[in-house]
Amino acid sequence: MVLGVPAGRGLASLTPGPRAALELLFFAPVIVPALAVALGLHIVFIRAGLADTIFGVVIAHLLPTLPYMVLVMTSTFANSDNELEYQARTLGAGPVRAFLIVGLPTAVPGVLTGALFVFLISWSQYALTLLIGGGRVLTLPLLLFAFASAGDLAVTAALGLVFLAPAVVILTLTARFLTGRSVALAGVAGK
Amino acid sequence: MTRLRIDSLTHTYPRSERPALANVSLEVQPGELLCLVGPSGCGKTTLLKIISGLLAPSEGGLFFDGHEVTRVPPEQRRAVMVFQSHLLFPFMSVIENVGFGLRMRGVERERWIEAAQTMLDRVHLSAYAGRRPTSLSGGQQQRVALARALVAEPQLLLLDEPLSSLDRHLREDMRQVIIELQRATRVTTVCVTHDQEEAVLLGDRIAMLSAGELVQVGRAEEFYERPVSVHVARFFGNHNQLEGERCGSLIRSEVGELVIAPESTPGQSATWPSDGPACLHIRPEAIELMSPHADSDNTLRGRVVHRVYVGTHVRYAVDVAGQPWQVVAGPHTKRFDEGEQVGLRLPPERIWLTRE
Repeated sequence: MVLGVPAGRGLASLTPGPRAALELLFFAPVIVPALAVALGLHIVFIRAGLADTIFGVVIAHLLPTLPYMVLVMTSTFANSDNELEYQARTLGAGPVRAFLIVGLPTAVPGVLTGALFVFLISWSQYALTLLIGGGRVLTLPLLLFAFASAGDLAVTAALGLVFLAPAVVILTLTARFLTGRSVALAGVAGK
Repeated sequence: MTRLRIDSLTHTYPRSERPALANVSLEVQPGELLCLVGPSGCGKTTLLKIISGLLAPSEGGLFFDGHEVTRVPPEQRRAVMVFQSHLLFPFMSVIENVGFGLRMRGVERERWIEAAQTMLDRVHLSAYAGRRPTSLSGGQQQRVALARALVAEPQLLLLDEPLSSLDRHLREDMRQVIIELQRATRVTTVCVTHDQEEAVLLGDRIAMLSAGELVQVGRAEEFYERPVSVHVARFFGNHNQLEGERCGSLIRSEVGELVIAPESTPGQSATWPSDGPACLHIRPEAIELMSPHADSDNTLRGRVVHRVYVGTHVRYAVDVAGQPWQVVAGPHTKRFDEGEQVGLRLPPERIWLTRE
């Protein structure tokens, strides 16, 4: 969120040509197979002392998630014009204050959509977590996989349901509270 | 009260060949309400944005009370813009919206609430202080936007089409509110509108822009009676037109000779074409209708084609040698029936000339 919101805002303020090029650049990590990136990253992280730590896993998770956050934020800011911020500026707010007090609150639905979206992507990461976390940082997919390969069907089924739960909850939430108020999803769908 | 001086301002948008504003110079007196009019796309909103600081001009300077502000960011200019779409902050209550300008200046909570409350009183909306702006009607939102702009005692008030998003009957109320508040606060105001009637009713003075150029500045009377071009004349009501040839203080045309009086409008007649081809203009309400047999000077003969009585006046369509002329007469003047022959007297001092 901290990285995605400003990036999206920056991208949205560009003209269509350079914007498309930069968006492609932001999406580059998604195009490369996750395993290839993870293996290389692993070596770097071992040297940096980040391997097998929660912090390392968090950073690694930014790889597939950040592009989506940027995408959602770009369409949010591109769809809302900056007039409210202009209004705030003529009333005496500096550019940073105008963005924080007026621009950001109007982008809340978009930020929420992006955050939920990105949570789901991170939630279902297997390969990245396994490699960078080295089996010491446990997430639900790792557990699920372990139990499934051990043949413990009852636990696997239970975990499977737990694994499904956030997706269902988030889908319901976005459908109920954000439809109509957020143009971000429509913007993503339209791309 | 601030004096605004705009000094040969030119602005060209990126990737545009024609400038949106070309060499515009204008002065707005302290406490004055100036209406900027012109057809859509003439550059009037661009000019307003430049005054507010939201847009930096390509060339030229901008002065508030003699101090140059051309490169001063909008938040330091205290030139508050009221946009056409109100632009109230939806996640704040009405009173928080009104107090926004003072809050940005670091005024204490009690003081800005008090000032905002007083201003809400003046626009008769104090009962709505705690509400969300989205629960208000369009007219109420517009009044909140005006209160929000005025509460911080701006140097300049900039209104962008303040009435065009309102229903007809609300428009009159809002116009009254604007005039009252402007008179009371004496804040120097620039108001943009595409509607000449609105400009006449609101403005102390009017400035007309056309294709990025300032074509005329003055009081409403001057726009009606002394328009500098056919374009301005058309924008401000109807007019009749007759082609002919100027010969001193005489116009020779197909329908006869007419006397003009350049000496009655020395300023304007300086721009008239000298001897040779010229176009004569006169407003429908300047023409006097009379019986065709009356012996009078400067009179054309015609036949009434159509007559409409509209309460305050009577509108005639008259055929003068195949040309349609419009005449507006007072409600108590002698009536002429459709098909009847009439004389149209053109008072020399009400005639003006242009080249084409």
